[in-house]
Amino acid sequence: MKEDSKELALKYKTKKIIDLTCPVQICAVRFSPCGNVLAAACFDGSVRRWDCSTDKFTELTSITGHNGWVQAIAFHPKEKVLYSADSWGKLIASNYLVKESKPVWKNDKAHDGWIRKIALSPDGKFLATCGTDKLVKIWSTPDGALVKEFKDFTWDPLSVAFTPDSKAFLVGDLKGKIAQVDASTGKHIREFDASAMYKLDRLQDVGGVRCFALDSKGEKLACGGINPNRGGFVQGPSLVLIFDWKSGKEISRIQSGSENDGFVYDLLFLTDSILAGVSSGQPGNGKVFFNLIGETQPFVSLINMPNCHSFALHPAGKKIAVVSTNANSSGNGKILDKNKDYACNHSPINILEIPT
Amino acid sequence: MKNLCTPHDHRLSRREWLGTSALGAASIGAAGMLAQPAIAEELRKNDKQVLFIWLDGGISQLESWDPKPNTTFGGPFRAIPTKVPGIHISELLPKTANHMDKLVLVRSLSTKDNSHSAGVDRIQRGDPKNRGVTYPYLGSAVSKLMGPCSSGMPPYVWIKPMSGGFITKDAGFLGPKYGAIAFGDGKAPENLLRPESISLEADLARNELREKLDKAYRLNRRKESSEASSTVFDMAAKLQKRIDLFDQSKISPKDLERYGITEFGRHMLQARSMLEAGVRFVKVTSYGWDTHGDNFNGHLSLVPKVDMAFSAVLEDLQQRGMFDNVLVILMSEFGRTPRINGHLGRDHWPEAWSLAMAGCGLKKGMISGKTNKLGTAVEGDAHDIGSMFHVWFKALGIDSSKTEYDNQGQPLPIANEDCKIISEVLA
Amino acid sequence: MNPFLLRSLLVLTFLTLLMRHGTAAELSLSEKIDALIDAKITGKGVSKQSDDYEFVRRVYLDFAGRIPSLSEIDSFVTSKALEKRKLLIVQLSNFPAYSKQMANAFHIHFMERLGDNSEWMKYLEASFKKNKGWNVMAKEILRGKNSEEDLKGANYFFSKRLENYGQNPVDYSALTRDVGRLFLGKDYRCAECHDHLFIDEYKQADFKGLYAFFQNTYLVDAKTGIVGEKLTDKKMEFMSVFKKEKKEIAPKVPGMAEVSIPEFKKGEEFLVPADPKKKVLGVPKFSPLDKLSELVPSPENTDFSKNIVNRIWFMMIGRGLVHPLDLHHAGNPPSHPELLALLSKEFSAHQFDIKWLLTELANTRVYQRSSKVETSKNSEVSALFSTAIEKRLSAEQLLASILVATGQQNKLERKGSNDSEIPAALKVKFAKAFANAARDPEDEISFSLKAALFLLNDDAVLGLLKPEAENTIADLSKMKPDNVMIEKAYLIILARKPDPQETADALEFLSKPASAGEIGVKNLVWALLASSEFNLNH
Repeated sequence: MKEDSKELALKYKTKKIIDLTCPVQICAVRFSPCGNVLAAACFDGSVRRWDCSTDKFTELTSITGHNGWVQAIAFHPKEKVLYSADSWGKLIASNYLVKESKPVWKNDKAHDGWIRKIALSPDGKFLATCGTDKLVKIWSTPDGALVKEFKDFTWDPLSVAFTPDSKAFLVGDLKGKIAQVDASTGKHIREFDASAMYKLDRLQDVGGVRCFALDSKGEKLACGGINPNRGGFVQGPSLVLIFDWKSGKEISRIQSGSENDGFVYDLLFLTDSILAGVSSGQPGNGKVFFNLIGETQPFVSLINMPNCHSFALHPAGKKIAVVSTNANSSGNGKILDKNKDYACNHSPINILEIPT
Repeated sequence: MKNLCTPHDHRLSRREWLGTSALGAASIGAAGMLAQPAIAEELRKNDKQVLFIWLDGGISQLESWDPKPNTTFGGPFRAIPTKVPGIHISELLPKTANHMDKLVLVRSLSTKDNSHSAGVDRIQRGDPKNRGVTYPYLGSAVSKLMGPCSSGMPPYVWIKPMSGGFITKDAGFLGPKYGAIAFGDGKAPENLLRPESISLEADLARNELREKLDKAYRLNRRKESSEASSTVFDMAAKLQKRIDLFDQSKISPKDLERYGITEFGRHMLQARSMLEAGVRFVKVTSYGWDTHGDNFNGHLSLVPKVDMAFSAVLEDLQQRGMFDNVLVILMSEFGRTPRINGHLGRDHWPEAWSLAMAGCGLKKGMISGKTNKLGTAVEGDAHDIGSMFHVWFKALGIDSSKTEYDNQGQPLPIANEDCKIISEVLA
Repeated sequence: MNPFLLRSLLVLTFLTLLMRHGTAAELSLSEKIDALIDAKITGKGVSKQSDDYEFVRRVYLDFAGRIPSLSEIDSFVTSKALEKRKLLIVQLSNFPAYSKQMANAFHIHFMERLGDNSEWMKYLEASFKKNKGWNVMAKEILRGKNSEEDLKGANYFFSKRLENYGQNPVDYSALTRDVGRLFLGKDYRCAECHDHLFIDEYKQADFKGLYAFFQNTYLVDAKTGIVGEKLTDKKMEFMSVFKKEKKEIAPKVPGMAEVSIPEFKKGEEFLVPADPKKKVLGVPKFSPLDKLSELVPSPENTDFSKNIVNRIWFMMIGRGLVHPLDLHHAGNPPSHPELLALLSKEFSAHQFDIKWLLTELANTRVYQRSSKVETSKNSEVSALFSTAIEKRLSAEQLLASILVATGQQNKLERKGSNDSEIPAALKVKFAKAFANAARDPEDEISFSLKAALFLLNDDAVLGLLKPEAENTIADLSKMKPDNVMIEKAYLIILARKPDPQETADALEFLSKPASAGEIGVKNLVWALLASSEFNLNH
């Protein structure tokens, strides 16, 4: 390891503050911009909330009204609104400081089916969603009015993000194509090649661009997924591709060592030179990693939290929330717990502190 | 330590434990004559067929035939109404939903084996009681019990990805004659094509002479020895006449589009052609259904492809007037766990799963059996695969309570006698 | 049949033979065999003896692994020598081809298409050339640790079965089962976890006792095939899945006493000590395989001798006295118990001399019976051997025979008749088309669609039908299509003369437009080669 890698490892040596229990599995967690609320999108159609103004993380009432899985959540950059989207196609905007769950606006049929991601434009005016109906929709944040709809039947969009100037959005799809699309005209500006994240294995399309992250200057684009070896139980090392925004070319990639590591489900830039992410693969496998841009391997790899599906950074920059999965989550047949019940798995939320 | 004593390995090829003592059928030639020749003759006259679609690895019943949306284990998908009021299936099967009035869904399957290696075998062999013999796969059983159709085409054909060949192990104690001819990726078996150096007339002439020679030989010899040879040459001739079945250029682009431009779509289309050509039992296998990881994206990618080809073949069989003559079965070796694991996958689940079937001898547009609200157990009567074998034989006109195999003197039931038939699904 | 009648017939037969030979002691084994077989055959319907053509073809296939050439047929049929059949048998059993044919037959029989190995074939051929006794061969094979140049091929029986692939563990159970089946005639498969459910005599202890010989074996080196043994210093524990009683057993051959495991002081168990640094596992002083190789072929082990004579009987006659060949037990008795006992005793007394036994068998009337049934009778049970049983031809015999039939043999003979001149690719193709899958004994006639398509359309087969200097096609093409030509074709290919109808059919065929010229000759030859008659040992 390089000298600065060792230094960085020490600098970013996280400490566990608390584990938040959640009785079901979680798709995504996010901190509010004010730093007082942590929200989690859950398998049971609820958005759970915690008060994180103190390290006690007391749980608040959940936002309800969703069906299926709540797949994605995003906070408005300025307003006290939390947007949540579910796998049946419903989109809800809620005032996240209000105790009861009462929507600011909602749309039962925002998409026909599974909404994969929500992205807020940096200027707060718009909200983008993408779904299995192969549509990307742009909504007006105050009232949820549909502003524009983009259809491209060659894509199966899995992730969406706005560009820093709010004028365009990125769509990452199943086959490893990342398109930069003009938000007003729908014209394709250019494409980034993430086809390394896709494979047709027998009959199955495996992989896809699962998440994006852009640095604060908008100079680097990182995307996360898997380098698929095979479908079925899905094997492959996890993969991050980093593109230079200006040229559109791939400048480096981070591929993990084991084919059990699976998908990178969430990514963010801790600083403009440090990328952080989480992965989940075979049951029991998955890690939190911090990687210096330009290096091919992370300088921090936390492997004690298995199967991590989401990751959020507290706005103050000192706390991280990691969604993992309980141990022994898999097994054939009817495996009963101590109470002879057939219980579902659950996602602990690990709150870690980055040392000052 | 590898152990011979698992039911999977309790196998004998073409033998019966009690041996062949002084009196018994000749040791040369076909084993397993039907106990009652009269029944055999009747069966051979009926031209009913089977389309057996095998999704290898275990399709999730929760993402197909028995969805439980908005429940603890329901996953992200919705359920959709079908052509039959009151029946809902997964949103991943919209085209098939339109054909629900043709289908029978069995939601109460509960079987014993949660492993692939043993499970696939046990299911396809009907998981009979252990009598120290290896039972035949359904295809071999039908091939034996009903023989080839009047077309003379090989009775048991298997369309599968990758390699083809002559798969004798399917036949179990019935003997290699009842194995499957596998067309790897739908390609013709090795040596099917007559080389250019031999004209059609020359080929006919040389085979005619060969047959004359064999007939003369048989006159004063045991017939079993040379019968085997003439049967396979006949089959080769029949297959060679239908070389068009392997010609990709003969496929209509419209059909290809309807069935889906996928490996599975092509194979299903070829299966339809095989049925039209008079093959008794056509098996189509799709591999890769073992979604222990990323189950939902996996099924989102896989199920619609099956939806497309399956609904197309149902439509085509109906349109061609073949629907009431062909028994269609769509299944796997087990279902998938309600519990979702850390890799967002579902694991093996023989406890409570489903299959779909249609056609010959069955009712139309119904569900047999159910699972509880969460899908964690069958509610009411649960059925092992033996019950399905009783149903399928009956649908084809074979009474499993009266018909037996005769394995060189050892009578053997054709389906597990401890399993009951499911009368309500039979027409 | 009425036991009184049976006994009377037996006595009568013996008396007749006595009168011919003077004393009972002078009866050959062949004669004794015939007496016992004839004693069980009742009424009419016994097939005639084979004519010279039938006989010469059969005996060449069984002893030389191929059909006889035209000149070989001719010289036999026209010979006026007394006891010419006896003479031919002696001649053939001393041909170089004899040891090759026996090597092939035993290879298929004992390796069951698990794999091929040139050292193993060399070992088998050399053993048959020397006419090594079967007890000696069994000992060498079951030792598994031969390092001598001329014996190391024998290790293959074990070394192939001790290979493992990737993550698959070595299948010791299958190895145990194979030894039981192939050397003792007993399939202990369903006695691994409990006493056999249907066969009372097959006990779990039988399986486990055998297994105990192999549990500590391993493949030292895939190249030399030498088998190594780890330390065996205590009995092996086992338990039935039905009765949860703990038991233990030392290596034990079924029907014989347990081997006593010697006790050594700690540190003194090894002949060659283990060297972990060099990854050498060492050679223990106590070798269960050595014991196995002594016990199995020992004279007291009647299972051993019964098994082998039954298998050799099967090879020659087409059906074992006990059938299937690996299911000797009280519920599956031999069709001729006294005969099996006689063969077993005599074989053992003659030092397990295979050539001697084969010769005796070949000289019996039962072996020389025709396979043509008397048209008046219905299919008589084959167990009584009243008609010769058609035997399957191995892929190797088929290939060798096709080469003779198409005249390629001449080419080989000119080159010195070295079997290795047959291109390996051709051997592989024939094996692929005609051989069974691994561990599926080739003991029944089974003609597959694969084989039919191979004969119909494969380049390899059609290539053999190209006319080349002095081969069959070339020769026949030069002749006018008439009776003489047809007779030659039949003799070369089917080793007999055609009857008038057959000649007429063949000429009619050649007169068809599709059969003009060379094509007609090719296809005539093809039809003869593809016929059931050619593809069987009848």
